[in-house]
Amino acid sequence: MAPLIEVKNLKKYFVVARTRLGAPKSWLKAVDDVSFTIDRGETLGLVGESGCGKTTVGRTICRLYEPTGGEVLFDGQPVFKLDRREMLAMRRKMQMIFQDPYASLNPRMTVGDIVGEPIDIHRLASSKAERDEMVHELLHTVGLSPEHAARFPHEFSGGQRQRIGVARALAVNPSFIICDEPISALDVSIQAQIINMLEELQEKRGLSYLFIAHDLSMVKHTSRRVAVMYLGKIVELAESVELYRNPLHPYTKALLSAIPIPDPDVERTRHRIILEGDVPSPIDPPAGCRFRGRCSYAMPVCAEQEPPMRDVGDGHHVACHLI
Amino acid sequence: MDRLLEVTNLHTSFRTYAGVVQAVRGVSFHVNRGEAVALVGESGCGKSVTALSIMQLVPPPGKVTEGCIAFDGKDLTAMTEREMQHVRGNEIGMIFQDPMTSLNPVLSIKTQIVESLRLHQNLRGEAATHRALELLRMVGIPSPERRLAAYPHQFSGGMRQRVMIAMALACSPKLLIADEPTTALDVTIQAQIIELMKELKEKLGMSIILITHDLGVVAGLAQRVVVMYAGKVAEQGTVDEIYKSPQHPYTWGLLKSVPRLDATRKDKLVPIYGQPPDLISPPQGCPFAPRCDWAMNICKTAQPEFTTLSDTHQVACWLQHSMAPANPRVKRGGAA
Ligand SMILES: Nc1ncnc2c1ncn2[C@@H]1O[C@H](COP(=O)(O)OP(=O)(O)O)[C@@H](O)[C@H]1O
Ligand SMILES: Nc1ncnc2c1ncn2[C@@H]1O[C@H](COP(=O)(O)OP(=O)(O)O)[C@@H](O)[C@H]1O
Ligand SMILES: [Mg+2]
Ligand SMILES: [Mg+2]
Repeated sequence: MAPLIEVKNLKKYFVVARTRLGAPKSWLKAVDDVSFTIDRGETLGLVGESGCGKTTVGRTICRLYEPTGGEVLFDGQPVFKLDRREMLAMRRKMQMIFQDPYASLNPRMTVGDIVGEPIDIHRLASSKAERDEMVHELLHTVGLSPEHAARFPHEFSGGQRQRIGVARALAVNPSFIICDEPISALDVSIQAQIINMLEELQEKRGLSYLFIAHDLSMVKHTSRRVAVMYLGKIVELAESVELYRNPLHPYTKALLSAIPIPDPDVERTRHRIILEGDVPSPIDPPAGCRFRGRCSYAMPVCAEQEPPMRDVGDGHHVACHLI
Repeated sequence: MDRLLEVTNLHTSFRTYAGVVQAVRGVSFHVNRGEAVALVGESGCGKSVTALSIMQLVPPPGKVTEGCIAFDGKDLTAMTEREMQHVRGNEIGMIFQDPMTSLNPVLSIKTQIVESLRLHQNLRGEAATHRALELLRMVGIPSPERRLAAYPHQFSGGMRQRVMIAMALACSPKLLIADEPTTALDVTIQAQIIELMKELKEKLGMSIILITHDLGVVAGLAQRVVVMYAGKVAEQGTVDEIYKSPQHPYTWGLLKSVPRLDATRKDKLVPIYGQPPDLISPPQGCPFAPRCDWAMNICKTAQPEFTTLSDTHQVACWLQHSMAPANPRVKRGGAA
């Protein structure tokens, strides 16, 4: 069966400086030629350090940003070619939930209106009573109660606000949800509640997720396959257990080794690869391999040629001259 | 071992219009010389207020109402503000989650470090600049000569946290209190900062209190862990005791709610349902009882006392009591 989502050579550049006449002078290449697919009912994880372009990938797929290049097929339909009306219909199929449950909910709207708004926009209810019924059902689905509908976001804890965000995304009954760091702002004890809820919803409704996070252990837990991003590009993509057991890209290795393991014996004997320095600027990314400045295996070829993405078997893809 | 800090029965409250928030309710723990101790627990459990109480920096309307904080043989609660300023500048350094809140955005890094060296160490001119460079080098800032004149916003999050650590180290403190120093940072940067703290602790023989909500980051740095819940200590022990033989259901919950990177099969995460209690009117019994799968009748009516399981391991839980039903995970100490 064809995948639900196909992302092909996606590019999103932001203009960071213009000439006096207003023509773009320099670009920030936030997403630079990214390709992947997501199957029906599958979770694809997307990891990488902050600023590497994860959010931009998510927002460009659902056209919250206009793409610079590339293509997204949703169930075979080219998302970037849709006109306004068609795009409105597409928005019912793909939704996004955001990292910051504090900033992403309108503080002046009641929870009922926040969750009900998409129902109104898409005219999914034929009467006020039906709409309220739908809102109550949605609140119930995410573990909140109908009484919560009359309250305002500030009356809720971080975890509860994230549940409200999920209820709102579910209102249009989508088949694909982009989860942009949905748990990063939450306490560890609350993170598991949200993750389990997302997994149960996936099972019940056959949802597909793009799960964006910087925490590789949570991504490994939630995702069947994981894509590792560095400075606007995917450097490695593999099944999550394979990626953990057999990481090939030096960046993936460093990322894995940075993750703390809650076991003093493991930590005592663990050899850690400490990445020197910070992520370079995406405004003038290094030529050749973008990771070479922080890579201890860099060779002359890494400065000259951009490593192409190669399939090394069993769906394990990596872009590195060492491989 | 030699105790550097001993906190005994600390109570800190905030008198607000809504009522008295009992943020810290009888916390006791100690830190040995050269040792790193982690304070762990979810937001609002009183970790920061405990740290601020030690520093005598609890903001109004907060107040330490009871307890003793012995640091290097002196009682900090009995000190004047002047004496306390000396302790803060010379003996205890503190770093916060968001370095931007404690760095002055309009002053260069140089001005800020040199000023603190002048105030606390009486260093000036060449000597102060020299020491500032030495500190920045120690925390791994590349080419510090070029970075010294920069302003805080010109540094990345990880570099800013390093600058904060450099400033905290300016006084060669005996104790460094790090309040969620890596929570806002990427895992790669978090690993750098934890590694740096480990190195500094070994090199300078300094003690560390590491505050975090994530038990994951603790295992590599700390020797002992104090698990806090609702303003109280739920359990404390060495890292081996806490990770291999945890005894409090809250500690079980913290460990089970995060996936392990090295897990070979996918176990469902076990969340801790519900929320911590309101500290204006904390429950009469064990504060964790409403969220505890093992709660018994007694848990709802009476506070559990500490049971001592070893010299280093203590837990406040009714499951330790001889009349509690047997539980395979519970290793009973003396009677509660
Ligand atoms: N609206 C925007 N305008 C200009 N630059 C942006 C915009 N959004 C993101 N960027 C830049 O694009 C890069 C990728 O950002 P983002 O996708 O948010 O990364 P991530 O989600 O991985 O942290 C960053 O360098 C960021 O500063
Ligand atoms: N300035 C304040 N006024 C009133 N209550 C406060 C104040 N500061 C902290 N508290 C309360 O004290 C409790 C403990 O807070 P804190 O120590 O900051 O938690 P943690 O650091 O563990 O997240 C919380 O319930 C918090 O609401
Ligand atoms: Mg992002
Ligand atoms: Mg705090």
